[in-house]
Amino acid sequence: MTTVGTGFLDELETYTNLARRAALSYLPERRETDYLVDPALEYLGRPGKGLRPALCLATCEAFGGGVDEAMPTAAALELLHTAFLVHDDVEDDSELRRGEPTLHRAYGRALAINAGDGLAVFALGALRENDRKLGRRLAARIWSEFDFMARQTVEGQAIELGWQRDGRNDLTPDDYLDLIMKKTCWYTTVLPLRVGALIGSKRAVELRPMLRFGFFLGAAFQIRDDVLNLTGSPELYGKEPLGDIREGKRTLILLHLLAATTPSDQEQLERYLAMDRGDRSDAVIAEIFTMMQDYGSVAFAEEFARGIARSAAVAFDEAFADVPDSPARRFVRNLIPYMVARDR
Amino acid sequence: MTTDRSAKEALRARHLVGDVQRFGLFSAASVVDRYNAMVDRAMVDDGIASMPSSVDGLDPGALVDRAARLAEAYLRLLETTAVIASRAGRGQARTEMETIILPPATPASSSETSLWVHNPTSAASTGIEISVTGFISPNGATIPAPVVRTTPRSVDHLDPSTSREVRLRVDIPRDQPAGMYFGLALISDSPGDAISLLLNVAPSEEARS
Repeated sequence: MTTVGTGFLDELETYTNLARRAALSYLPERRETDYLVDPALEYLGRPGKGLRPALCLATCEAFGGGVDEAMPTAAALELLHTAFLVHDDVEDDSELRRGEPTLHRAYGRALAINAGDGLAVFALGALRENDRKLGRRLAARIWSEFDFMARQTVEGQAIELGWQRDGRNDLTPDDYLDLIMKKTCWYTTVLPLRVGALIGSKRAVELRPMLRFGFFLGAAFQIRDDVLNLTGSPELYGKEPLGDIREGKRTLILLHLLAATTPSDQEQLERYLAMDRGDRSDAVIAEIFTMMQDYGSVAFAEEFARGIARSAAVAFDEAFADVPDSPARRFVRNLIPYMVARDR
Repeated sequence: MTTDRSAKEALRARHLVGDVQRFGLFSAASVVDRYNAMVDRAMVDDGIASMPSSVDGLDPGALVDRAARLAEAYLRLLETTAVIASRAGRGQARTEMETIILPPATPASSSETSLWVHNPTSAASTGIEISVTGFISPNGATIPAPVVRTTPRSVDHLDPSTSREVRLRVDIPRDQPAGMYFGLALISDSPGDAISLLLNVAPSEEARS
């Protein structure tokens, strides 16, 4: 696999900055009230990875299009992603996002939820510009892709929250992969690849291999995220450590632990998962984390992700087989090692 | 170089690393098939004609069979995965992997290449085992492990700062679907550092004509 170098990170930053600027241009020009725009601007101003718009823009370029053609779509992705983050932080009652207090901790829950709604509405405005830039037929196709993606994402989020509420402990890696296809992969990798290729190729692209590559890439990303939540540096990762254990998230790591523990440890784990979140002390959370290490659950997830990432490399070759070599094509290929090696 | 106990641990970890990676790959491949069918149906005439929530149209027997095989593989892995965590240099395994691309081949033929086992240390190494997994393609087709062989199967003794060539041969079954296949080679002395193998199975003459 290709090593992730500073050149790749510079390119990622360039794409991200372009999309961020475009996203900001879809916020209201004239402020009727600071109560909406200030919180809406908050996360967009914090340093994020910008993977989604970067993947969309680079794929468009690789397939022969111009960055400018995909910019409203990339901006819509960034705005919608930010809206999802705001609501996700409220749902999980998270403390930190990108190294600073979450929006609801800084502005209160009501204003934060409303700002999330606002960001989703601004994304619609960005998509509307596709009519003028791409023509109605391609713009309608992009709209359909967003429609499908958004339904998958909210359904996935609902499933995850439902599993936590109902204390589901009978889940397998298959259930987990289905979940992350919906809640993460579709909007993080599958959609950016599909719409980038549609725009760049003027719709002359076979999208089935793109879904395959997108899912492998997104699954490697999500599993790495689950591992970073446990083992990553808080300064780099930007979220509170062990937050997934505190929330009782059904990650691949937790599912492995549930299946691999001895009966006595399993009893302790199930007691923990049945607790109210507020009753989960730091000491007990640390014990669960130690169990995850001792039973090989963290290592299991890391190796599982590496297997998927290897397959992503093969799927990339298939999806981009007819695409000539270019910096944009190489950038997309370099995302694969980045997904499993990243520390933030 | 290694005690008997740690050598056994390394051997178990080596197999598990490969098994878990292949399990992840195979599980993910089965999800892709379902969603490709769903999105294809949803994108009729560039609009959302319907929003299916099931897997209608896919062969239910094949799905059940695949799910059963995955569940069985998972249970087998669960019995011993804790050993991965205790492998030498826990958490230090490389995220980058050496890749060897085998010569392309068609069904009912063979593909061969060389692997090199190195001993960069200042002490002799003994009892090094080389194992190669079966191959799998992104859509779930497999080349079974028994048709993948190394010669020799192990290296009994390797002097300090020396290397030994190992030949790897894959006999491709007659009915093997064309496509890119992925496998892993694992060396017992460094179970976290698997070598990725890529093999392009070209369509047979019959399929092309």
